[in-house]
Amino acid sequence: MGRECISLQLGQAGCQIGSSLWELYLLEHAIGNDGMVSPLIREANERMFENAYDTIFNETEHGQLVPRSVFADLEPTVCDEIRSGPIRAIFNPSQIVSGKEDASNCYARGYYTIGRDLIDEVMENIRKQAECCDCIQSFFVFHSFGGGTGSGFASLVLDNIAAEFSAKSRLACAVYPSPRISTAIVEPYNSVLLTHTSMENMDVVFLMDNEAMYQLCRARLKIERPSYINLNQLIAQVASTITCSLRFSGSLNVDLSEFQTNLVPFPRIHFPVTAFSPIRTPEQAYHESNSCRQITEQAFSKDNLFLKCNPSHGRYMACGLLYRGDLIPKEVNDAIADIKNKRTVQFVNWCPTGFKVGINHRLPVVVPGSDMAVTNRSLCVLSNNTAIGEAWHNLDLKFDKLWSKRAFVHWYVNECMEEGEFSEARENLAMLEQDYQSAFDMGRDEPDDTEF
Amino acid sequence: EPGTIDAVKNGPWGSAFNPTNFVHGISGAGNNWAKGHYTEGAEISDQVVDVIRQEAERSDCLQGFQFVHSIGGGTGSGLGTLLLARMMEEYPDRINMSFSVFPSTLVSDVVVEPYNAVFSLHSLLDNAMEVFVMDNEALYDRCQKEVKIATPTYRDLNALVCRCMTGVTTCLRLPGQLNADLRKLATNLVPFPRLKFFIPGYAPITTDQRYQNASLVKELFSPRNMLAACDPRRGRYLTCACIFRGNNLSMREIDHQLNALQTRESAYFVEWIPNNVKTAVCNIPPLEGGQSGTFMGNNTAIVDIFGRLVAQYQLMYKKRAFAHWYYGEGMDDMEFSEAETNIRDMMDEYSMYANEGDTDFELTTDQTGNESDADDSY
Repeated sequence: MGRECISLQLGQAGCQIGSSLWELYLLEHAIGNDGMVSPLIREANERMFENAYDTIFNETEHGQLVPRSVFADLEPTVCDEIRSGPIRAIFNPSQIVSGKEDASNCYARGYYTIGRDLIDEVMENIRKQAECCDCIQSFFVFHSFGGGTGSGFASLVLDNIAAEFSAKSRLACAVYPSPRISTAIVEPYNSVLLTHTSMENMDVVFLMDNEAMYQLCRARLKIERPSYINLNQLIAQVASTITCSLRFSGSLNVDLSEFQTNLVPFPRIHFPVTAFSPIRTPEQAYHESNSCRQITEQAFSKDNLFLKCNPSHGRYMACGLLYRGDLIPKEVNDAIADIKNKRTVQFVNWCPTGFKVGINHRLPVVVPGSDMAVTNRSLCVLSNNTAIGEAWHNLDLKFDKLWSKRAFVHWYVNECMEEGEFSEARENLAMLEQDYQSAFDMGRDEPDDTEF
Repeated sequence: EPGTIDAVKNGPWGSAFNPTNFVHGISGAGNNWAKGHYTEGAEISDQVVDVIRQEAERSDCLQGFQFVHSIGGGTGSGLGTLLLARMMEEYPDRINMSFSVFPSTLVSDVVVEPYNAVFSLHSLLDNAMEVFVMDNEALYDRCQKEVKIATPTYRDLNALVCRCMTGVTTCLRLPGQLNADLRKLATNLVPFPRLKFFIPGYAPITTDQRYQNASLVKELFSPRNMLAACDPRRGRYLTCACIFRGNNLSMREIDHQLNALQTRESAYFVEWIPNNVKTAVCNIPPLEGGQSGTFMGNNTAIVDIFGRLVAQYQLMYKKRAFAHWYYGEGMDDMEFSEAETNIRDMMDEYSMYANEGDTDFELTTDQTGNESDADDSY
């Protein structure tokens, strides 16, 4: 069949997001918690040529559907929760790999010492998954920037994948450090080191941060006291929309490799931010209409972004719009025309076209018990905006504060890392900030631009 | 010496322990650190290390050791630090964590405790990775004022210490939204290798009140709930860790309240660490139900405690009072002065970081340019 996508869930954040994600996938494809699809649904799928769940599930000869996924964490607690959770039966036990001792929020432990013990098992699993595929298209990684496993071990895995599967795309949904709140003190170090090491190995990294998502939960979903489970459900919706074209048919399909081509103007500027709409409660859904135009407008509002950043401080370089549900291309084109006219949505002048559109007709699904309303159409916007440079700038400032006193560095040096690596990583990020700035500067109209 | 161990063996939980794991000598250390560390203690230390080795071999993947002792006596301080050094030698990559009961200012049980404490501190500096500083004065205070026990016994004090200890290892034992084992706590709490002395705290100490998250963060940072007689307001926090336990905890509330606290009280947190608090959350509520939090603060005011100890030590050592008991066990003047110098160096390091600001960094405006939520207060 081809076009398979293997998901890699690394670290506590990655595994917990993965849990919500596969729960959603099971619902979307009407697969039971035991991995079986009822014969009636199979028949209906075949009639509609809809059995493209091959791209994310592997069908065994007994008819059981096994996710094409590997869960890996350096300590066993989180994986044990998945092994004993509600969807435990769909996973082959060997897909969930856990070590004994974790990376303790230390990039060096995840990359050099503890990570090296587990990497062989994880790569073996990935290879096995790859062998069950006809022709893999891509790897979709879920991890956090601030953790030890999410940064160090993820870098190590990506190094190995880039070496072995160099022709396949590598995308990630990553939890970026929030500007104001944080749960780990050494987060800036881990984030900067990860970005430096995986700059060449990743094709596209979708950024999201907890602070922005908490705000969404409170403002839109009226969840007074959001917790990680609420955030993971939001992330699962975004990830599901991104892989939607791989799994269901639509009038305008978007492959994962098309994201690369259309969203990444320069190789290093591959960090788009995500936005999703509609995000609303069932009570609101009852009272609000959900036209294509409205969801598009809502998605371009600054408050719907999953990362704390102000797009009006910069210019858009590229924008991917993934529509899903009950809509026709004509509505979509009208909505986009509206957006192009908005003053707040300004593109760089070297990108006249700007939008990559995908339309899929499968209705979005909501996990029962979650606070989001069921809706008949939804939109996920992936935008590459020069304002993201601000987020890097703030991260670099935090890194500099810690680095000025060499605080906590002994934990990294004790795990076979050198101080030189810190400086290299910091320089790389300084260059990245400059890249964003040049993209912005290049993209502004000069006063004496002549028109042809 | 056998007295306390026999009491434990014959107590209600005595039969839960493997009998070989109880090791005792006969004569006791006589409140003499040198006896515990060099002579009497050294005699049984091999036996103890054997037992520890057996336990370590039974483990799948050893994380580390927790030492619980006082540093004012003879055995806990002398033998305790000897074992710490041995474990550091045999298992250099494992976490050595100690819960040490320091001598109090007002309440003194042992005359030579300054000597014992200074020698122990000298050893803890070199061999432990995380040291939780507690003292009886603070524990008595908490029991009387917070738990409302008029005449607290050691049993009551120990109950408080145990709450804190179980809080620290929660993430090792129980699942949660955000895990933090001992090493992760150490990585986040210890910015420089020698600055590893933490003030422990626990909330709620009173068992009959149910706290909302809102007050829990405030309570954790309140000196009322800390188990060391040291006023955190006299210094600045380098780093802290908060471990929350409860059924229905909201990560957002915790993150935002900690952020609000750090912003409001930014004078009490060092500026060169952008975020000073490590958070961990466990989904299983504490035994008494509701929610609870364990606090570990690495505050520069801890030098007050060390300063008092060193001052008392100096007063005695100047006249060599009681020193012959230590010379008699093979110690010499060099060791006395080495210990004092080591501790003074560590105190200087803490004071240096307390006073150092960072004037080079201007915080830029928030990325969005507006406040995210109005109700950051609690």
